[in-house]
Amino acid sequence: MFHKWSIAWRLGILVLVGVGTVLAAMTGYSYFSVKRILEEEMMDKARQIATAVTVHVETSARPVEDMAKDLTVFIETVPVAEEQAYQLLERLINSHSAVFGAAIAMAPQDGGRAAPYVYRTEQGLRRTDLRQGYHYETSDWYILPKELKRPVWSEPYFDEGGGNVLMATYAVPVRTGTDKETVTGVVTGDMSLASLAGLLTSLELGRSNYAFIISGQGRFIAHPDDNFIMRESIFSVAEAARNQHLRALGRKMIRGESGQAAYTSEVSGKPGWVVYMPIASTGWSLGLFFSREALMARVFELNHIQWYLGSAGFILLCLVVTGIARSITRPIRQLDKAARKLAAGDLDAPVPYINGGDEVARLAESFTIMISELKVHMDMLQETATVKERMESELRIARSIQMGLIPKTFPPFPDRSEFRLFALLDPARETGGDFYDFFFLDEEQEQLCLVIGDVADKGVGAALFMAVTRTLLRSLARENQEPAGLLSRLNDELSRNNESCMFVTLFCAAVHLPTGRCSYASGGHCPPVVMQPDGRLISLKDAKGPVVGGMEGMLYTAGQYLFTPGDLIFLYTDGVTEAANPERALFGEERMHRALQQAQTRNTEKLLRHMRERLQEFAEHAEQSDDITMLAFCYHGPASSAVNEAVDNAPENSRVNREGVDRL
Amino acid sequence: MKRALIKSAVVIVMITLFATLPAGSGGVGGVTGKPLRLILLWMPQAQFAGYYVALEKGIYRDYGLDVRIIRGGPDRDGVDYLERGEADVAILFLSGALLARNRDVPLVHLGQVVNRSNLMLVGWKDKGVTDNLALDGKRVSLWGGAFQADFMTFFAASGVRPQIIPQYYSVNLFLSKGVDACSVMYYNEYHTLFQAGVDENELTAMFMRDYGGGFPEDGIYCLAETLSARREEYAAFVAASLAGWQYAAANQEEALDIVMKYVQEANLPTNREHMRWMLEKILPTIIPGEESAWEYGRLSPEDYRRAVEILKQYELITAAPSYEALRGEG
Repeated sequence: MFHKWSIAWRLGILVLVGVGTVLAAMTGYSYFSVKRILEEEMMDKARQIATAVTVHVETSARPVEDMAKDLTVFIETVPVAEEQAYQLLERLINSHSAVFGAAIAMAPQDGGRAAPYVYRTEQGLRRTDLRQGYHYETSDWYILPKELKRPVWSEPYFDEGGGNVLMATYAVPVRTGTDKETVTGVVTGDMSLASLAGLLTSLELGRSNYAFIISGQGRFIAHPDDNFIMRESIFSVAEAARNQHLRALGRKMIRGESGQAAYTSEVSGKPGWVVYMPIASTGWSLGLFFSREALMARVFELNHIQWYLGSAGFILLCLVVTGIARSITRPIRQLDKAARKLAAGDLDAPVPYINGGDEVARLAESFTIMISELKVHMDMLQETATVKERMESELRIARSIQMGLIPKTFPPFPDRSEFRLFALLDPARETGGDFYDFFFLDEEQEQLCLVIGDVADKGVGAALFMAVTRTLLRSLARENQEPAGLLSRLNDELSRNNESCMFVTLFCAAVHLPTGRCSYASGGHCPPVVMQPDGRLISLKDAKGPVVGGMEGMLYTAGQYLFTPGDLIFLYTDGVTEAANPERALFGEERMHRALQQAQTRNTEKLLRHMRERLQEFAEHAEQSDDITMLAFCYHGPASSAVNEAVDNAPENSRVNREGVDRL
Repeated sequence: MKRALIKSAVVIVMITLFATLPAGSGGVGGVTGKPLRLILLWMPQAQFAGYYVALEKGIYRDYGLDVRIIRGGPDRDGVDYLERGEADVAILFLSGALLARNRDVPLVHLGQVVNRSNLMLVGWKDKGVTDNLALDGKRVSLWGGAFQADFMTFFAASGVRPQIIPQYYSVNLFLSKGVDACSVMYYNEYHTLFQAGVDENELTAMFMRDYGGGFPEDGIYCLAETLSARREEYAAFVAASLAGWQYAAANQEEALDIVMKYVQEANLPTNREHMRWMLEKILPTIIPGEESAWEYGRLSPEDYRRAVEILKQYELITAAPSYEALRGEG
């Protein structure tokens, strides 16, 4: 799929994917590192704030503790009367702004003494005797220091007398007895927690962040939502949310540990973190909640310029890459267009000129060179074609001369029953100058002359030489009916004025039809084969003589053969034996003899067509290099006995002169 | 199983009987009559969900009653309210009622709501309280009054003599580890400890009912002199209250909504999860299950006799009325 896209697309997409990945990785890395830095920064800030708040609360609690301890020392040392006690308390409260109220509560069984309590109201300090209608001996602030025998910060509580103020009481056991062990009463100092909420809201922690304080039992004593104060504890929230982690966190907080943890706001239900720190003296714990949302808003704030720059850069890069990709591929596309025109045959199509020396420019240059080379080549080709055309036309002429001279009507003498005759000439592309001929030598038409020849050259010259040969042969045959003499004469005639030094191989046989006596002569031609009725093959190579037309005054010896009815003579040129197959093997005489025997026919036409088929089979489409000429003559006996014409297996004629005949 | 079925049948018959009463008596007392004032044992909490539900869901009204609920608390005592005529009926612990009878307050028992004790002791495991036997010599804070009998029975059964510290309204002394063990109600303070960050596995929990103590708790009482005039009205009140509890049991979230409404009106420092625990834990001690040995809303004579016996044994009372006399049937 990808490989089907254009180069410009592929280049563009690959570059953009690569750059985009790097860009995204960088932005992602920066996002996470900014987030981590901000988280650390936030935690640091949270710890600082928490420290400040706890110090602040401690410094509010410390004067209360100090006052109560001082007062304890005082009353343990000096017994005070009721009025003195009230005055003491008033003076102490006035001098300690952090103290909301203070009391001296001796054990109820310790006589009928008052339990003076002084506390702040909007109208100034107010005195109360706690013994009146207030069973303080059941209060935690009394029981706990008494039983624990040490100063104790009480759990914060709503003071029902003093205007529903949430307060915590620091209570110190008093030992006025002689044994200094028995706790005889309790001195208290109250701290109002009303200012805690104001302190926490003044922290400016940021939107959706907040601070809270839990008591030593996990109860919210300062919280942005008033409904949580004193009602809910970190454990009740954990229980409602079925959140074991929150419960575990609460346990850490009330144990006085400090740290940070993931936290889900009990107000908004949003996730975030809490940083917690103990307020040691009171046993409370401060929590600062930071919402993830607020942090992420800051992360985005710091990151968004990077996002915008990254996106803008990416878009710019898209445009640049597209431009570059197109500029690289434009000349290629132009070349492509030109190449297509070229392929369509338009060699004059302009090749685009490309500036510079880069690969594409060099390709265009090669293209131009290729086109000019192609043009030269085309011109040469055209010239060769003209020459060839002329040659072809010459060959055509030669062929028409050749084919026009040889007799082509078969059977040539349909009224003659003594024999059957058939001939074939398959010219090669370059005419070889083969010919055959047959004619009667005498007026009585008893002597039939069979001729086959092969001019030793090709083309028009050969054709003309063949025409001359044939014409001479015919005219000379009128005066000289013996083949040997005829050839002698022909040789002399052709040799004379033969400046082109052409010659011809010839086989000539004169058959006396009434008797079957045959006289033959050969001028360097391959000896014909006689197929006797019993299938035996005899080569007629008795006659000897040189090629015809080579030199004057040559002598030719004659051979004799006596045809018996059924004998068939097969004349051929070297185109048959030298026919070659694609492996350049020659057909050869042996194959020829076998093919003749396999034919098993006396029908001259069938035989020659059979031979032609064998030759074609052997050649297997290899180009024919020479003319193939074959002539078959089958003797049926004298005209009187011509009824027995189709004698295939006539008995051997013992009277025939077998001299000079080879048995094959 | 068969017994449970019979028991359920009895309960149903009883409820039907109560339910048909107002209709049959043609609006006895009636909404037009003078209001019936109920004083609870403590501040508004799920311990009293059934009464608040009966009021809010109009069950009292359906029974022809005009009920006013007065909250209890450390400053208010139900017996005082009855004696002063500021309330007509009160929710009291059985042992508390018997102590009052011992002081010759003529209380009459109208119905028993909480039939199984929720009273227990919890001890810090890390202070060595691993079981009841380990309490010997330990500092144990205990509620006073009628509860003492339960704890004494428990200590006697365990053969231990702990050092007793009085315990009042909070478990903070226990949380500060000023004592090794303290008294709690399973439905209330036990969970308060949990909500103060104490895990259950840090504590050893001992139910008084498992050691021969633990009497039936919340019951409905009136003064004998008001009984004869308002007998039918009181019976209707008991039936309506029980119906309220059944409604609360069947609709616990709605019951919690109602309780929380009263909790918020009283501005109490508690939360819904605590009230949920309280309701979930007290309901099984009110409405009998298949294994429970009590009838819904009814004090069993055996439980009564056992309570009297133990209270006498520890000399918290010297005399007690008969079962029938307590029920005003004498």
